Amino acid sequence: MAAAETTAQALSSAGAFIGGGLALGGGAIGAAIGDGLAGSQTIAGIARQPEAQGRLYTTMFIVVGLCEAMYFINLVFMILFVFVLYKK
Amino acid sequence: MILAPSILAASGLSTFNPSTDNITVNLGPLGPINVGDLISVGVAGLTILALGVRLRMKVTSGVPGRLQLAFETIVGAVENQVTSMMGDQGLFIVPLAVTLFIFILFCNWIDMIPTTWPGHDQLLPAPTGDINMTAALAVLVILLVHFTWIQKNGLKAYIRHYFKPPAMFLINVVEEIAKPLTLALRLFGNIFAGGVMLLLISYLPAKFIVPIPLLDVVWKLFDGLFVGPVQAFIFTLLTILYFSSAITGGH
Repeated sequence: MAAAETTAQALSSAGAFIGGGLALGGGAIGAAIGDGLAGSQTIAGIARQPEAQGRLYTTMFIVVGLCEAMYFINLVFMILFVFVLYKK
Repeated sequence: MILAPSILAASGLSTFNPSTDNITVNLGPLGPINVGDLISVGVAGLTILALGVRLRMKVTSGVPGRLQLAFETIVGAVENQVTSMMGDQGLFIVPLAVTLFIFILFCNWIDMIPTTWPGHDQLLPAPTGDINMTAALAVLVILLVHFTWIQKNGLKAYIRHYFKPPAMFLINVVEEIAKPLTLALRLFGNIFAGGVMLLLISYLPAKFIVPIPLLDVVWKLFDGLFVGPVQAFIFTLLTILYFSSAITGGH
């Protein structure tokens, strides 16, 4: 993908790819931990009070949507680094 | 596509091959516009308008039909959310919130229609998979929120609320900048990543192992029935939340 003609271009490509990988890795860890916390609190709430299951599910999906959003913002920055900025 | 010859003449492309190239119109300093996105937005908008006109023709105060029941469910849910957050003074938000929810939902659902053929991009891509569309929606919502702030509380209260916790002026400014950014990028990232996953699912096994026929249908079901409505609902919920803090004038 990168026709690096000079050392500077090779360095910038390498930097872009490493940055993209770090963005994806950190984002995945954060999103997974956030979803896991939301899920664990939902399980604890259902264990304590089984008739609140519907409302707990709704709130859990809202929190999951917000946590996954952080990961997708990281994905957008990865796309920016790897496909656009690797030439500069 | 009907628009193709006029767009060709307008953009001056002389070597355009409709079966392998994608139609983009170059606006000079404003950058390229994806004509597929424009057509998708037109399809979504016309569908919603047609449903609305049909609802208006058939609306009754007796036993409601299925279309009226669906609309009443959505409007009722949004009204409950609004009144539980800010009471009756926020009811003027409900048309905006319902429009945002239904429009973003339909735009996400267009992604489920299979309109690809080999060597060509998707003919009807999801409009919310384009950063221009989600950025426009987010900027519109945030401008309306700030305008409502100033209209309900006055200009001096608006400027003073940035200094409310006295040492947190910069944090408040950064938060106000982060709101439209995260609104736009959250919706764009979710739907765009769904489209990229579709390409990967249909391309990678076919190239390396063996074409698996119905795998992309499974992903489209997940994308359309879960990610689409959840992201539309989160956009609407955050809009109502920002408006509630603007109308009640505090944090």
